[in-house]
Amino acid sequence: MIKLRLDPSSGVATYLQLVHQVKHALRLGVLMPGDRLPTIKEVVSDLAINPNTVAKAYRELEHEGLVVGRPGLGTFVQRSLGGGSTADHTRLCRDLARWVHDCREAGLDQGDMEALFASVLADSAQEGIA
Amino acid sequence: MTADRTVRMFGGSGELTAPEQSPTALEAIGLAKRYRGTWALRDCTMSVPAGRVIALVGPNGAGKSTFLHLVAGLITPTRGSVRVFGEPVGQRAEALARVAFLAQDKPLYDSFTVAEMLRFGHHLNPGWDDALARQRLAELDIPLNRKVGKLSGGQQAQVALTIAVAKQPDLLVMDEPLANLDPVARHDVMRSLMAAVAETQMTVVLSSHVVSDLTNACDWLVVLNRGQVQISGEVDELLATHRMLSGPAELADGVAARMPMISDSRSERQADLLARTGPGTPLLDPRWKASSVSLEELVLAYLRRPDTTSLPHPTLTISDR
Amino acid sequence: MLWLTWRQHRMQVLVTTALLAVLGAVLLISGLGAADFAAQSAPAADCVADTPECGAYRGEMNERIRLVGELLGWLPLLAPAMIGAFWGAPLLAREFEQGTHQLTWTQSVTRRRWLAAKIVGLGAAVTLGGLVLAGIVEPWLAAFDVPPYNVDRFDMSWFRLVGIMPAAWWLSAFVLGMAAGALFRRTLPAMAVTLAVCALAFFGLLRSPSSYAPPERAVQAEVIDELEPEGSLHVTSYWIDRSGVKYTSQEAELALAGPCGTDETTKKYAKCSFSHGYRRVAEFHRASRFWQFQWTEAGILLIPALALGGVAVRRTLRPRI
Repeated sequence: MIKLRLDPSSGVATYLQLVHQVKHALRLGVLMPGDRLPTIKEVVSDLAINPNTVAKAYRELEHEGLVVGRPGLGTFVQRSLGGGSTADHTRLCRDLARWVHDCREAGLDQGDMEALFASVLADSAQEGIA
Repeated sequence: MTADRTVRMFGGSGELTAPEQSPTALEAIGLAKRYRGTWALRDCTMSVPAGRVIALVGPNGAGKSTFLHLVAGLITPTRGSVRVFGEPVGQRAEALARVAFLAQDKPLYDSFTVAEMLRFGHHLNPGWDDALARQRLAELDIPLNRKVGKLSGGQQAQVALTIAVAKQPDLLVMDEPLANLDPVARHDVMRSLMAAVAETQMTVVLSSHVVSDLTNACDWLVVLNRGQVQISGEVDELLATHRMLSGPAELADGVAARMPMISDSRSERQADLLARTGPGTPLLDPRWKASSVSLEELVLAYLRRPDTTSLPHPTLTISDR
Repeated sequence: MLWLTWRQHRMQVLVTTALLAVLGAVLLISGLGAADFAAQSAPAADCVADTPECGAYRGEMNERIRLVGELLGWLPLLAPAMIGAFWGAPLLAREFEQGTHQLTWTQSVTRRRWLAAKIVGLGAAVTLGGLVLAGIVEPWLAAFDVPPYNVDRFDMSWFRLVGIMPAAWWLSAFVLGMAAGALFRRTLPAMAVTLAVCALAFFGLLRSPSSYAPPERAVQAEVIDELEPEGSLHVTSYWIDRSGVKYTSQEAELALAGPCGTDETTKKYAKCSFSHGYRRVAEFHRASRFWQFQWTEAGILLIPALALGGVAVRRTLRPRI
């Protein structure tokens, strides 16, 4: 079972942080179909957050068809996330590592790289819409 | 009851009921209280749906304690009325059974043992859930045979909270529950409170003058200022309808004329306006940048402008999401 | 509720019970000793003539009763003061002081019921305690009441230790303390005021019973005349001459010094004074007025105490902070 965390300085709404974490775990394969998510009580007694927030996050995940609630039993992972095969992941990861290496060669620090990556990501999203 | 509770405790998704459909938990109409000629609370009107954790914030002396004492039935209003789940509060056994109150200093009988405090709760409350109380204290490692006066501040707060929760109220009212607690105890009390809310689905009203304590725990915000309600609304919605707008100072007046401004700080070139933009992103000159605000910023901005008494959202209706 | 009352006040109950038990033991030993002595040494003669045996017997009994009586003499002052200060004053004051009224008044029991349980429960205990005190003092006094020594309950040394007097004093002191606690809301000032008022009441009423009704007046009719029937409460005595002019005993003594000499204890002197037309006059209350006076004093104490208690209860029930 995964343990949810909060980043109070992120500025992202709490329920979205929870949604992102579950999705992240689904992408990384930490959560697999059939796994049970922590109950609302478990989450709130861990994080001291409002149960409605957790319920909202779980509803969102349920709405997206990622999890399903079984009354009396818990909330279970329905399907996994993440496009591409494992082989693709390995290849892309290698490419990215090479890119990072190149950046360092060119004298970019971590901040520069993150900014560059974010801007490329944003541009590509814009193209996608257009 | 026990079976039902077990389902709710371990059920997880069984809890996914939409709070929007809940009835009104707390309703105050024209509530006012005067002490020896000074109004501690003036014309306070609000309505809060059930199943919420309501943060009551405001500066010291804003009337928070007075309001909570009125809700708990400890004092009677000079004018107006309070209703809890549609029933007036007051000195009747059934009205008292519905509301639990945790006073500011979390008073307990110091000479009682923890077990005797539970017995106190058991004797004075027909709806008392002794198993729940014992289980909570066991989880918190609080020895039953210890004298209450010998417990740490955090443990005393937990015992007081346990008594309030085991009473099985529909509404739990807490006056500054986190005051005088160290950071660890604050977190622990909040965790166990949230667990209790998840278990029992009770409505909670808690006051604080520190907004950051409540950011993640509360989903409804009520701001009291100078004895009046300044904000009452769902936290997510408040955050969604307010934006910090940053842009060229020369265009600020135009923007300010279009929507309510909560705070307005301008330099020669730039203006930072905290505006109630309403749902969705406002259509503005591209030179303006709209960013979201934190709950703390929002509350501070309102408190600095006590004249902005307009409520950000009609209090009696609940938005669809 | 009864459990809570007991739990909160068991210390007072236990200490009072223990003190009564100790007193009971002391009085039992003393009383048995006196009864034993009286059975062995009471002179058969009726002691109209003062024989040495009679004198010795009276002296010994007097010595025995004085030994414990001096201790008991403090009780009519001390016992109510302690009851008021330790049973009454903390009853509400301590709740207000520690804020626990906010805990107790928000359980599912109405303030009225809570207060009723406390006042009725403890009031009954206090009254019972007072009756028990009278109940152990009376047989002890009876043990000494063996002719020719006689003890009477109307005597001011014993009047406030027998009948309903201890119960009335204790109960009014308890109610007074409770009221002081409700009005001051702090234990120490409430205790101090209770002690002060108890002392004032004690010294104020110390010699009052003789004025609870107009006394009877008896004038000496023959030389040897017992003016006051046995068991009476003596009010005053003086002399009158033939023309009815009043003399104090000193004035009469002075006036008779010429004709009758100065040794007042002799029969000759008595005859002489009688023949000169001087008559002794006594004012007194008959023993049959004992209960009337007990109830009069009980009323004097209880009526103001209960009125004050009523005010305090009303103030406590009316929801304020």
